[in-house]
Amino acid sequence: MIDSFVSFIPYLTAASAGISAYSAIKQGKAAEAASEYNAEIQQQNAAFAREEADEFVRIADRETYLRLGAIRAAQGANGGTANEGSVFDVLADTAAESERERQYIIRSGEMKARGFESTAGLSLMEGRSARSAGYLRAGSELLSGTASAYAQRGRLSRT
Amino acid sequence: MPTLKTFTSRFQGLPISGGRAATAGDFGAEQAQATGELARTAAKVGDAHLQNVEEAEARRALVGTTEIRAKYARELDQAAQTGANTEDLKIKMDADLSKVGEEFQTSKGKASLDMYAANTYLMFDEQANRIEVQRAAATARLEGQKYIVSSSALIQGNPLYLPEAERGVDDLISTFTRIGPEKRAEMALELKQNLNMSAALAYARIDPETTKRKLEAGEWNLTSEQRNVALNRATTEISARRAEESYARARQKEELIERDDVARDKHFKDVYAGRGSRRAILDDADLRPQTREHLLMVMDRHEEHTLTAEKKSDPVSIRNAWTKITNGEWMTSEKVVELVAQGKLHARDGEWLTTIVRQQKDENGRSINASLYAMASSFQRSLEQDPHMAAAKFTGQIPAIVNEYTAMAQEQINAARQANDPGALRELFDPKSKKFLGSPDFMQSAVTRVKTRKQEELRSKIPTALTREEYDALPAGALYIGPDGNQATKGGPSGVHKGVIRSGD
Repeated sequence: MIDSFVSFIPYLTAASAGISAYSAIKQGKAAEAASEYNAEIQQQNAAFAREEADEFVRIADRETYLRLGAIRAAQGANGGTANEGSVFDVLADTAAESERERQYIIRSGEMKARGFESTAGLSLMEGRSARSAGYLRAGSELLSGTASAYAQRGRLSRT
Repeated sequence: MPTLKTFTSRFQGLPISGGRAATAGDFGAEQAQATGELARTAAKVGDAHLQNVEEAEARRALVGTTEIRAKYARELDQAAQTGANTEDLKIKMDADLSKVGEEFQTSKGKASLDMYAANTYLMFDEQANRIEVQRAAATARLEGQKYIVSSSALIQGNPLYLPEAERGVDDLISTFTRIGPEKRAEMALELKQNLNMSAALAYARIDPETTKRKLEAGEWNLTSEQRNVALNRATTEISARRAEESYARARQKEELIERDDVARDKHFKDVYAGRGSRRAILDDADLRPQTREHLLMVMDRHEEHTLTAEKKSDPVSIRNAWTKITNGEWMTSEKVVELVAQGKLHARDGEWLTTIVRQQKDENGRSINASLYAMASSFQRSLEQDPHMAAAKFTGQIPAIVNEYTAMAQEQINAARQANDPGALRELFDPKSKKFLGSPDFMQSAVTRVKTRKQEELRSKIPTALTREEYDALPAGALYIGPDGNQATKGGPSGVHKGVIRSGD
């Protein structure tokens, strides 16, 4: 009895190879899309980190202003002036300290933002690599599938 | 100094990234992977199915060809017995093998079928070739046997034909081209050895001693078994000849002994009957030297015993014997010899009694022989004086008639003696008796018998003329016997036969 399915097996193998190749490309593209999405999020995070650092700087400036005002007010209440003797030293010292804190906040924010930007870059690179890998796998699938189909065709008798 | 108030900010660091990172699966990678897996699985299923089909076809090829191989092996076995053509079987097997691969779809199935079919063809060809070779060998063997039978017949008659017959074997074997050279050489050797065997057997029959020596020297191309058989045949022939010679010698010796026994018995009886003589014993060629010597010694001893021994005959026996001889009851000496042999009579007395028997007297007191002699003499004288017997006297027939008379009379006397009839013996010499030997009738009967015999002798020399042709063939004046049985002379007065003999009789 003739088994008609047998003669379609090479074509089935070839078709499955095409589908596998397509799926490999599809997987690569999906991985690339996910990486691009993640990179975008990291870029946004970097911007947020800088905005946050600017906000912390404005808060630190405000606190410094208030702290210096409190010192001057206290000196005035004690009958002195702000430009005299030890008060002046205190104000100068406080102002210096505040500035140092302000610079620290700015630097911390910048470092955080750079970390996000670095991650975004890596994610983009990962996406491109996944896409390339998808193409390569697709090629491999096509090649092996074609070879199998050719071999199966050879296994069938040529009548 | 016033203390500065401590100030702490109310804002801390805000969380920047609260969500999770995106993955490829979020963009359909898993679906694509599943699709690829599905495709690969489908391909594997197809490949597995193809492999199953290949194995099934290879199996069918093996089973199918094996069945066909077995079937045609049986067919070939039958063909070997029935003599069927193997080429027809191969064509049928080819068709059957083609049917096995009709629905094959894979190369592996076809290749398996080709391989098994090739093995099947190989086995078929081997078996068919073996059958063909066997048939050719059987034919060759049959032809060879026919040749051997005819050639052996020639060799049996003339062993020198062997070299020619061996050349014939080479010519015969060279015609069997379907048989391998090794087999042909083997058959040629076997046929030649059979021919050599025939020649050796023929020589063994003709000259067994020489043949045996030649066989032992390795002459003739024979197997060891054939050589042993030929040697045994030669030995048997030698033994048979020796046995034949031995039998002949034994038979000759046996005949010599038999003749010796007969002669010894005769002489022994003669010796004890007193009739023996040394001359007779010495001249008897049937006697062996030792028997002759023994008989002479016996004779000497017997004579010595007879002459010198104190032994005497039994008085009663000798008296009775004398009385019976004298009374004429014993007219022969057989009874006397019997008594001597029984030891009842001394040989000397036996000799004496025998003499008395021989000298028995007739009624006139003369011995029988003397009476017979006297009658024969007077008969001869009367014949010579009878004028009717002048012709007989002239032709010398008188003595023949007298001898005939004497023989006839002796027959009568012997008959009377054998019958122990004294009356009958006396009647023979009694002139008043009808049986008197001197009567004219008795004497005339002797004359008649002689004349009749003479006439028959003459008539046997005269030709017969029963037909006209036989009569005409006779010369003029020739004597002949006519159809009436009478003697006549052609052209003479008795030519009356001319009328009696008819032409064509």
